[in-house]
Amino acid sequence: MKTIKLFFVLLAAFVLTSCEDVVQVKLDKGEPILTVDAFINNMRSVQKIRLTYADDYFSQAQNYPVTGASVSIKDLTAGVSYTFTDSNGDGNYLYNLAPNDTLGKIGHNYQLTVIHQNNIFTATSRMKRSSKVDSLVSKFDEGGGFGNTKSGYKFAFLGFDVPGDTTDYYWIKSFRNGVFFNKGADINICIDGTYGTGADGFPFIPPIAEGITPFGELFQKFDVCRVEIHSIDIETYNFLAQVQAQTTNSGLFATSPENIKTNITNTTTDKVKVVGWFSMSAVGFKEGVAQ
Amino acid sequence: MKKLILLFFVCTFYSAFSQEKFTISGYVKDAKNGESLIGVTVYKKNSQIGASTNEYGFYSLTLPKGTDTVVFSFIGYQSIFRVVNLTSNQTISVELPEEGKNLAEVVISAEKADANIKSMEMGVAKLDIQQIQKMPALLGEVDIIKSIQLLPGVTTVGEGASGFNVRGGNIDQNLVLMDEAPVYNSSHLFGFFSIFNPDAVKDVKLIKGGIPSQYGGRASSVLDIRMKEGNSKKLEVNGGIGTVFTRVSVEAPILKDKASFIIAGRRSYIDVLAKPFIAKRSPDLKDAKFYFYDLTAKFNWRINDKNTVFASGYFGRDVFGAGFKFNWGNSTATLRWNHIYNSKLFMNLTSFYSNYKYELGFGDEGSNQKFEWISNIINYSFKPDFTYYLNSKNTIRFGAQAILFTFKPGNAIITSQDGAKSDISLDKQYGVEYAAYFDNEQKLSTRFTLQYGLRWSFYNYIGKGNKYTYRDTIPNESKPLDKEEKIANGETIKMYNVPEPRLAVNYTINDKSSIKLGYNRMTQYLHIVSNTAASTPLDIYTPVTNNIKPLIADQITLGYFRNFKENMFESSAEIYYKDLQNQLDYVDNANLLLNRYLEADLVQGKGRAYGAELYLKKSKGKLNGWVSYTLSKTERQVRGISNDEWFLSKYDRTHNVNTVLIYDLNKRFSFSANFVFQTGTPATFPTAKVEVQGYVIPYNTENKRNNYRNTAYHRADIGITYNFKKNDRRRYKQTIVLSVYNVYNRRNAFSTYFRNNPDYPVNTEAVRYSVVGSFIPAITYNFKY
Repeated sequence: MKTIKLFFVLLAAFVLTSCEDVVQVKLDKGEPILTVDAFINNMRSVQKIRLTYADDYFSQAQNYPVTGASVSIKDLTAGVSYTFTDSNGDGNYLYNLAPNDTLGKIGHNYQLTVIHQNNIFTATSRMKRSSKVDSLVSKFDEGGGFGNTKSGYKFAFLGFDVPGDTTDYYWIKSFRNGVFFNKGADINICIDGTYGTGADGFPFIPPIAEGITPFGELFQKFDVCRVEIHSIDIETYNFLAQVQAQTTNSGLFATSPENIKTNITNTTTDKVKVVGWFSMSAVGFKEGVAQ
Repeated sequence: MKKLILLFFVCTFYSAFSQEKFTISGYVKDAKNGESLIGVTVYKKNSQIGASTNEYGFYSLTLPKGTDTVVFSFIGYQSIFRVVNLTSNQTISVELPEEGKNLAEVVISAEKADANIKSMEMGVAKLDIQQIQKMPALLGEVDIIKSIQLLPGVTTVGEGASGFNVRGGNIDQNLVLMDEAPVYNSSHLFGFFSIFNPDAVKDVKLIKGGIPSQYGGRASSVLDIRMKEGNSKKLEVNGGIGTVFTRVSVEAPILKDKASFIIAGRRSYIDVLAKPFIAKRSPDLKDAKFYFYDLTAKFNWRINDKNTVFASGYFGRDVFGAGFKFNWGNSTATLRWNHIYNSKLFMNLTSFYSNYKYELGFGDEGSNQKFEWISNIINYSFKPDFTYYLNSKNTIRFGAQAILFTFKPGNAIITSQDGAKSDISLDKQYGVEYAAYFDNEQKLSTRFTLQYGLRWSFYNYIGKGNKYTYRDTIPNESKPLDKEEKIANGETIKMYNVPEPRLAVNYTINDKSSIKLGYNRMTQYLHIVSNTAASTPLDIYTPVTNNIKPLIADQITLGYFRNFKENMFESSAEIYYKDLQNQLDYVDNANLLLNRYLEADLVQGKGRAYGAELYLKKSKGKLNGWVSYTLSKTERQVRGISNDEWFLSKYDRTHNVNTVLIYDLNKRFSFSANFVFQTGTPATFPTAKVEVQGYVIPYNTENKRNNYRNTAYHRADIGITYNFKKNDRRRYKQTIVLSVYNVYNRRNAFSTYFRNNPDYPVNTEAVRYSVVGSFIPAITYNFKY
């Protein structure tokens, strides 16, 4: 889909001299709504939950951190709580994963609790099974083409959807030399191995397998490519799809902008708004060198 | 009610039997090429008694016994006077010769050029194909849809948007008929070019209000396009080489004055021109495909005075591909039979097939892995229409229509490397729409004319298919599924029926002015599913189902029509109010593609649109053209969206000014210019940004939709047409058209979006996207043989 959109954007540019200009727009001031960014996985030793305030759209700085909140995740299945602390006062609430911790067990249900200014915010998530990356392949590309890209290596991975009765949702994250491709356009999510339900146990289709190399972001020789397949639930899949749609909402295919959803609720009052997301993911990963 | 009906019949028939009368009837054609002429006025000299030819050039006029002079007149043609001695019903078919330039002044007084005053039609715009051909066009391609967008009350989201919006309606609310067969996507390459080949089009009529009861099935407007029948006198070849298309059309008699055909084709060739450049710059794209073509053909055979048959077809495709494929197009086929039972009863029987198809695919060559998706909307229809010319005061139309819809929302197959296939297709959906109508145009007095009618439409959503039942819980959230049932072939899932009253009143104040009032209810049993700013060929259509209700529009219009200076200037002022029920909208983050549970993501709401349209047209003289101004508002209200408040529709344009000027300097040169101004489209802008997982996401903390507007759209275009001196044998006619689109180089906003600066990601910025980013010159060469 991305390829098609890009093709038409470039075609319009070629035929009709379509163009983009940065313009000045006067926007109203937004409310500083609490934002919870809680994506936890079973892979790294340090897990992070970040709390910030929404800021004016054109503030030209990172959003202000929310400090002094109390943040914890409870493993509802095992009945154990894990407290995240902001020891640096920068809005990053951290927890060091110990080997025996049950934070990050497939099949367990978890509840996030954030207490801030006398409001209690909660969310739940279940950690689902994930697929593994069978192999990574790289191919040299001469570049050029419609976007007049540079030459370099394109990576693709081989992997299979986990067969079984339930539909699996995956978020495929890719990194170049340890740097996450963090543009909204690079979000690579899928249902089983495709874009729709029904293809159980199939390999990831080309647009997904090749999507780990974002357009125009080729690898140079000896660059390291890392691929992680995160298991997510359908709600998180929808959330990421929405993030992608709202951060890339340009050109001929632009949709009516909408606010991203949240799975976090204020259990104290509905007068104080909250945004953000809580998700628990199991991860399969692999690294490869471009050559 | 019964008494009222009785009274109507008494009134109607009383006049019929009061005096001995006879009927003259027949066809009116163009003397030059034998094309039937639509809308020719046929009247008794020095009287108000008259009729006009229908879509097939047929007329019927009932006059008292005796000797009379009957006049046949039509703009641009010489009038014909016939003395008839009426002692019995007569068939009089005539051929009108084209008006010679030097005759113009003599003929003017004989013309019934005040048709706009006298006719029942309001909110109707007819476009003259010769005028369209002189107007400056994008990339020099004469375009019917682009020309329509210059009429009052008609807008577009911008260049690159398919279709057009009439009085705030969505593009799927226009019934676009090509020789009576509906066309679902009227665009090539998104909205840049329309699919109608101007060389094959005879007549274009857009009806925005007071829609007569023979039309139904869409909520906002009817665009009735009639194709040429083909020259029945001699061989005619038209063609042209433009910046985008090469086109050629051939028309010729098969049996002189009896049977003829036309075949017209176009193909874009930008891919051919671009190929060497692409091959040089990126060898892997040398097989990239991007072209579009269309083929239009029509055949007609006048079997005898009473029977004529027509067969017409259209086939068009847009083909794009580069490691993927993305193709779409319409095909239509229409068979029609005109039968004259007697001088008063005319029948047209139409049956058509229409298939809109689009496909999408991925897959590398030499690899088995593939993803293919094909989607279709197929229509079969049967439609008898009768016109009964009861007497000079009453013209009765009645008829019926049945349409079978087959929707194939997505036939999708995934093939894996080892060749195993997985079918993730969606179920087909079937619907049948039936309608019957009755309509009478009644002249109550020389000043008062009424047209009243009723169309009753029925719709049946049938199996074979799945019936889904959803629970409506939280507004603006996907509805949870309650039940899924298998429905057998042909079994009814849900039925709807809607009576659609239609009314038009004309009060003629004098020869120069009239007041018209119109009311119509329209029902639409299918919806386009699109949440993009502009519609794209990827947009799917959904039939009305047990979960999706039909769209119902009620519109009332009032207009004042006045002509000046011997009908040299036509002017009108119209106001309208439109109320819409069950307009489709979408829950946030709706998944519209390949979604089995699509209905769960759809919501329906109310809409209202109102406005005023002012129009001044000059259709004679060296300088002609029109100026129009529209003031309007279009709003929606949907539960769960924008805090349940009314919000501006994305088609809302407060002000809209259109100017079209054509100046015929002499036989060689003509100049043309357009100017368009439209208030910017409403848009939702963020008021804040939120940060999640390193993504900076625009957020509107007020949760309001369409809280801002893009900057105003305005544009001017110019064109020059040069007619070559005819060659010695006087058989060729050649013209060169030079045009410049967007002459003052404005970058109009198609949309404004918000992003992080690519070089300094911490900085956020607003970006205006302009589809046309500079002026676009073009040259087109046309020939006629």
